Amino acid sequence: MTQSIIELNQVSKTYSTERIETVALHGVDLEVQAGEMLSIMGPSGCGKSTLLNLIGLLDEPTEGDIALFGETIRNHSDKRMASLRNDAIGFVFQSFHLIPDLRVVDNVEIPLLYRNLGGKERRKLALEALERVGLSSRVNHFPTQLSGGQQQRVAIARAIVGRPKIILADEPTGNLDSHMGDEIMQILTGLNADIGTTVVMVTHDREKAERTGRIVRIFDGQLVH
Amino acid sequence: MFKHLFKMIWNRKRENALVLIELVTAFLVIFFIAAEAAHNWWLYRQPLGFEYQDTYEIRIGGLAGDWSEQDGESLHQVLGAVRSHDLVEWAHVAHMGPFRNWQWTSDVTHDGRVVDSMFNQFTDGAPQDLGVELVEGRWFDETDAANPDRVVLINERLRAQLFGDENPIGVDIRNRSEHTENPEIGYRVIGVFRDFRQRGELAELRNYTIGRFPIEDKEQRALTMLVKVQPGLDAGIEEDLQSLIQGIARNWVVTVTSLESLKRIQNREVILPLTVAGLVAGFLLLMVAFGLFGVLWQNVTRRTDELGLRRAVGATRHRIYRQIVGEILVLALLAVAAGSLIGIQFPMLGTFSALNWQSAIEALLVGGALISALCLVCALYPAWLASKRSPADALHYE
Amino acid sequence: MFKNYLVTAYKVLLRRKFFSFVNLFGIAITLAVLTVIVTMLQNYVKPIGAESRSPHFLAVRNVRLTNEERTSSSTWNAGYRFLERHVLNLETPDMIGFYSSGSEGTVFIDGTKLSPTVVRTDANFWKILDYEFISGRPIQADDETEGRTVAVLNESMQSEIFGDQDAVGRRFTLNGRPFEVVGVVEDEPEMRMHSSGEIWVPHSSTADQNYRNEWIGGFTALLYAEDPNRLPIIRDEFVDGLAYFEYDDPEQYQRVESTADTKFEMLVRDFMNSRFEEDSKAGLFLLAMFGAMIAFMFLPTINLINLNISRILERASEIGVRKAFGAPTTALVAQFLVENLVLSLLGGVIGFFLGVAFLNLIEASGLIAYANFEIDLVVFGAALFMMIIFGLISGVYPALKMARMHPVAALRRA
Repeated sequence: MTQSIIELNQVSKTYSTERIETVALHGVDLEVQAGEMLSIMGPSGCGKSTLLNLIGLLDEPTEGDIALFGETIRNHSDKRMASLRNDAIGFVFQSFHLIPDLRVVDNVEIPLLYRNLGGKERRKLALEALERVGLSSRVNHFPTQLSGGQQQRVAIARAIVGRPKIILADEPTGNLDSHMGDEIMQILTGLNADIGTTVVMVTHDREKAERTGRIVRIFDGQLVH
Repeated sequence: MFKHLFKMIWNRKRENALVLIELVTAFLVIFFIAAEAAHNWWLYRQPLGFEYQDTYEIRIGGLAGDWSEQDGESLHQVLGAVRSHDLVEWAHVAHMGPFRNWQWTSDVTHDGRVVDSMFNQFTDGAPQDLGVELVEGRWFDETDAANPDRVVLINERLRAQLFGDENPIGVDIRNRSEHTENPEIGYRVIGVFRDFRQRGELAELRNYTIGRFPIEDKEQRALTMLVKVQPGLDAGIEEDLQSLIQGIARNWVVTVTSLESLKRIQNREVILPLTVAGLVAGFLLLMVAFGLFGVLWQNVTRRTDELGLRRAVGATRHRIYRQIVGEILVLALLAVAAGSLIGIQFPMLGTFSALNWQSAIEALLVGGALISALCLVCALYPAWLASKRSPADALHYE
Repeated sequence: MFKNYLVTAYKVLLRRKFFSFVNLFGIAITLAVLTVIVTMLQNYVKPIGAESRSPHFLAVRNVRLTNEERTSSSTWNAGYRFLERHVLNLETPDMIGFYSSGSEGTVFIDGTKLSPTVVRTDANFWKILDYEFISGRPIQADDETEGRTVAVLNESMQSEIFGDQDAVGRRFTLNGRPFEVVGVVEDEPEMRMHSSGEIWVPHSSTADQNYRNEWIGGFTALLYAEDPNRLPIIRDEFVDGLAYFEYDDPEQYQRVESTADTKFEMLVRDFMNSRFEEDSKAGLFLLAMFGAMIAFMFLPTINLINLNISRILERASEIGVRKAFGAPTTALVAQFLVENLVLSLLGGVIGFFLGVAFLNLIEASGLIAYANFEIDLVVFGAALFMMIIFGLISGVYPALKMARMHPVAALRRA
């Protein structure tokens, strides 16, 4: 028995500046079931990242509805959106986005900062997450002291430390060589298989996409079936 | 190119507005201090009007009560004794000595015009001995003791204000003072002198009137004597003079001070606060410089892609360098222009004596030069940093 | 949570050494200057040294005689006759003392001239003020009534005139007349308005006694009460008594104006030029001082705002990540404010010690004779308070700007 965890209904997104309007997404319908692993593919500039940002509640659609866990997100306050992101979603970015001023373990703790957790509890969870990505030996390094693959593993640890139901990964292997990319893919598929985390991944690498259960193609702001 | 720079600045007006405010404030700080300094420097270069070397001020104090005829008698004896001292060149009585921060002022009127003027009185021959330069007419002398008119000389400044092109010699002017029992006393002008800047080298130029001290009137209270001695003597002469005078007039308390030391103390009172203000402003400017440097550095890093693009479409390193430096210089120019607009309000309104047109313009120049130099220095390193990047590098950053 | 803000603040501080240095430099210099000014003003009015009992007395100094039309007037400090008629006969004070404003005296020592500040006092002056005697005794009632030529010296004058020896019992020549030293006190800073001086003699030790006929002279009277709460009663009695003014020549002056003030009021009256007004304008004075300080902080504040804003983009990635992982705007504003406050407070502490160093430099330079600044927790507290204001003002705008950044934009721009 599966349940629809992410549901997009006729979602459009338009970016407007003073002079021009750019349509990034146009009338997108999408349903993702809990425990699914899904790739979004398409050429660059087609709206993949916009779609991911909308699912991640980092941005709001111009038209249409987005529902997470059956709850439609509309006119939520900044606080409410923030806490939804905090609880339900973990992000992995192409360029890692680790905070250079913080040590690895402090970087991983970030999502827990915005929950009411004690310092010891946070540390424990962060170390667990790092163990899961195989980086227990690097907890006190600064991000700049790590290789790209290691940095991305830290970013995944950060994404999973809060035990979110959904992980959104935006070209997670885009900045890595194929060997490191494989490692990252293994971790992501492992997460999906072991604890049933829903993974939505943007990529333009066909080989990587084929390792996921479903591929959604997007072209010029619209889904191609 | 210039227009292009303006466009860049305008398109980032929000960030630039704050930098601009900072520069304008810094400019105004420099402006006020520079105006004050410029004005004092100008005052310092104006002729003092008299000589003070090897001259001592002797203050007659301790007479809390009235001046008696007995004191007048003592004054004559003291003057005689001091003048016959071997090392003394001359000795005179004055109402007030120079380089002290007190003054006697009152309104002087002539032909409906009212201006205020400082007053002082000297015994016969004192202005000549002090080296005050006579421009017109004559000095007073002992023959004026019998003169029914009270005679005075005025400085050129007062002459210009009160008489314009008229001949002042022989004209009666009136003195209005609320502190005298006779509200209006007439004085006959017998001469004009260059100037006598009683309150020293850094005091404002003032109108000045010198009257005759009537030494023959024993009931006339004397406050100060001026004594010139031979050059090159030490403090021993001060002790000599003091004990000589104290020996004759036992009820007086006499203090002897050299005019040179009084002048030093008085100048210090002006220069010290100015120095302190200058130091504080220096620190503030250093802080602004560091801050500006940080902002520019940050901006250059942020604009890597823009600069990379410029390089890619063919801008030379030198062009990039010039652009960064040019932008901040245009900003400096704007700040100086805005600051100047605020700054010139002061001489226009005439609120600060130190801020007349001349000192304001000098201060504008100093302030403008300093702000431009500061901006230039702060921009050099970030601009060099920006121009050094290869276009490929810069574009890859994104 | 707060602890985490502090940790981040500390780390940011260490990682960005140049920016930290620039910020700390600006804040520290600003606060150092403010500390110096506040300490100097505060030392002027606070009860310390020989003036430790100043909360117990009022001072009468300025006197103005005028005619009814106020067209003619005579103004300076109180004369002896004024003291006799309007001050010494007051009933409410527990003790009344007086002294003359210092005048320059002359002492010759081996061909060099000293110009000490000479103060003439009565005997009660020494009971109201609390000088620290190194040796000897103060000026006493019989010195005053008999007009003896005795003197109290401060420590520096003692060593200038007599070298290292104890001066009590020895003689020296002041303004050409012989005086005997009866006591030596510790140096009092020049800026203490009542107790400063270098040589003190009985007011009656002058060669002639004409000053006793003067309405306007150089005297200041101190009206002392055991119980400070009774000072308003003393002030009322003094002010009421001014109505019964009778000048020697009733044709010339018909009115007298004067005030009885605390040290602070006296300072304010000099600054605000309100010497004869009923209200000393103390409130306005404090407001003006506060305004001046804020104005002085303007440039450093703008500087810090500029630096903070230019750093927003450097930290865009951090902002984006924090937002993506669920940081609400308020948490981010709080974080950046705490960072700025930590910086401000650190700069404040450095600035405070820098200010103390400046004050020591001023003391050592001798610009203010016998300067000896006491720096207390009030100044430190005020400094801290100013820095918190500073930190908030310079932090709020950049913090809001940072926290409001759109997460998508923040992540893309990094």
